[in-house]
Amino acid sequence: MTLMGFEKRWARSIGAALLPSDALGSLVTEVDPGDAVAEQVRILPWYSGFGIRASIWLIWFAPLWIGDDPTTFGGLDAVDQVAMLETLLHLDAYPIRSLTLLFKLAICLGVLGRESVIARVEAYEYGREAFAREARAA
Amino acid sequence: MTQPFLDAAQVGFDLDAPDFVIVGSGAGGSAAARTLAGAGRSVVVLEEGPIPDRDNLSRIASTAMVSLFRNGGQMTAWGASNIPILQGCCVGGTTFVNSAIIWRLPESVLADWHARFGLASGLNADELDAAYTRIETEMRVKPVSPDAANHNDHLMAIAAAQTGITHRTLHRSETACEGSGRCLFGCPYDAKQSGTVNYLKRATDRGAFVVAHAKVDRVVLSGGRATGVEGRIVGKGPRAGERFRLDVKRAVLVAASAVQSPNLLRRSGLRSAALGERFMSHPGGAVTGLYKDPVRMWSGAAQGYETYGLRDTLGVKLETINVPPEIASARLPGAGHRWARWLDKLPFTGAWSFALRAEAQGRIRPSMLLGDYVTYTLTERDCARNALAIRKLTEMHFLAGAQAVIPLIHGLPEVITSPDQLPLFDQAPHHPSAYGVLASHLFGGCCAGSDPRTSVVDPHLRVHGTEGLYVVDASVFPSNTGVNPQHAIMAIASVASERLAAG
Repeated sequence: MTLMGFEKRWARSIGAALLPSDALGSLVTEVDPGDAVAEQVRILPWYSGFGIRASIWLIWFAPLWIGDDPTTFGGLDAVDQVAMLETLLHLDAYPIRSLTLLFKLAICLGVLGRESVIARVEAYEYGREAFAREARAA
Repeated sequence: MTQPFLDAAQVGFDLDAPDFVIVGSGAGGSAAARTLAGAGRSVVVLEEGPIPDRDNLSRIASTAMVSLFRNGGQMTAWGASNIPILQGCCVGGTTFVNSAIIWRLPESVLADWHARFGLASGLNADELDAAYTRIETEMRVKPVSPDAANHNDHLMAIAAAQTGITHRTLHRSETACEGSGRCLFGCPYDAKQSGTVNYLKRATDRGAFVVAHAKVDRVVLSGGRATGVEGRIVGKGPRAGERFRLDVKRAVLVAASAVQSPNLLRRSGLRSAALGERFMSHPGGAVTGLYKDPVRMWSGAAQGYETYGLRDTLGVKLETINVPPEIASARLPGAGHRWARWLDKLPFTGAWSFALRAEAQGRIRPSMLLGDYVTYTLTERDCARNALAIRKLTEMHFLAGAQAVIPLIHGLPEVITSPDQLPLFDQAPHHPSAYGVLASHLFGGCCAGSDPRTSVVDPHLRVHGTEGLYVVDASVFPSNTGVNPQHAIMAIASVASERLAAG
């Protein structure tokens, strides 16, 4: 499944609000969130790609049915965008909550799933030295 | 690692009819292959997935899942909530991407199988014990070594000791574990004794063929007997898309897993009211604790410690687990800068999981859109026990010194900051959608039993009414087990195969 250009732009906008550019020492700026989400849509089974696509539409138009302003996600200021995402992640309506979480997971897999991030959190072999040092100390 | 196995997508395959064809190369298929080939029988193992390339295994979750897991790790059980199902899809099956945790089938479970399902004649305790002992030796089962145990494990040991619940270092099949923490995406050092590096290799050393990218569409039945299999070559390569047929002299052993085996039998023309019914699992989730000092849960064994004293009472088993960083990130609360602050704390988090012996039963059917369509909804009592398990893990994190705990129950606070908040769990909703669980231990669908009206295979794991067709995976388990199933799957496959080899 392939995202359309405008869907990728929406994903970029939502992703930038979800994951600020200074997160994890700004490592997240190494990849465009729109491209990262589009890549997940491309490689995953059709129903997961469909779910991510649905989440993009859902979040983009959420202000129309959840907020006070007749606008889209892109029409909100930065603070309200984050507030909108927090609202969606906590809604009682399971389909909406789980689709928003699916978008968050797509951002995690696409933007955080990179060697530089793995190295920063000292996961796997990157943590071997510290692990051995602390084990010796213990 | 790639030497002993054939990649059908690259070179195709044209083999003489063997004594036994085994469909699937996971725990059941690899153990059956080792047993039959070891007894001098000719064996061909057909595996739908690729041959894992040890030198190019990825640390990146999405890359690893797309290459080694069924449906890229996105298979789902559909119901009141959507529950991800994790299954390996490669040579070695799930044994290649699990933590190699070894547990014998509890005696109480086997006694229940004998009493309720009449399995004593086929799965008797003495034969199973002999199989367990042999497997434990050959698969090099031992407790996680102190060098591979990490701080996440130490913290659970501290907490469990204070609760008084029985606990221990996990027993795994591995040798010279380097503690890379990459068990869940395939061990790049061949330390983990998966079916891939151990039993399938032993089988090929004795003349068996293991063929990757060979997807069996159906078992060929003629005159009430299995006479071979038909399928197609999948994956990428010059031979992909070709169809194949492989005749068999003695028997076909289906070991395609609890999700795939029922639909394979259905596609083969078998009809039984029990086929695809009584799908079961151990749904589970992770509870994350935030600590003052780094936990570094991704160093050391992926899973190293367990608290199992609640298995017979609450029906849950608690384990440490190094949830991959990308996936652990998605489980941290919030959006924007609130989420970013949590991400900076990732190295200070430790995750402990629970596996619930759920009473829920689901169904497996073929689907034009989804392939294998699994419906499964946790019961209200399952949800109540989920809440109790999460409460216990939260309590244990605080006993180990956590500053905050993320329970992931919708309707409760996202972050619990004090043990004084534990009574809040009494108000946890008992609806499946409140819990973010996944299913990794799968059972049923081709349940074993003495009554052909309520079971698919007989006590010797032969499909009722069909000669030369056996099922040797967790789909035959008539109940879930409450413990990690790999060892029990290998043991029942070994026992059934020993009889076949001798027959």
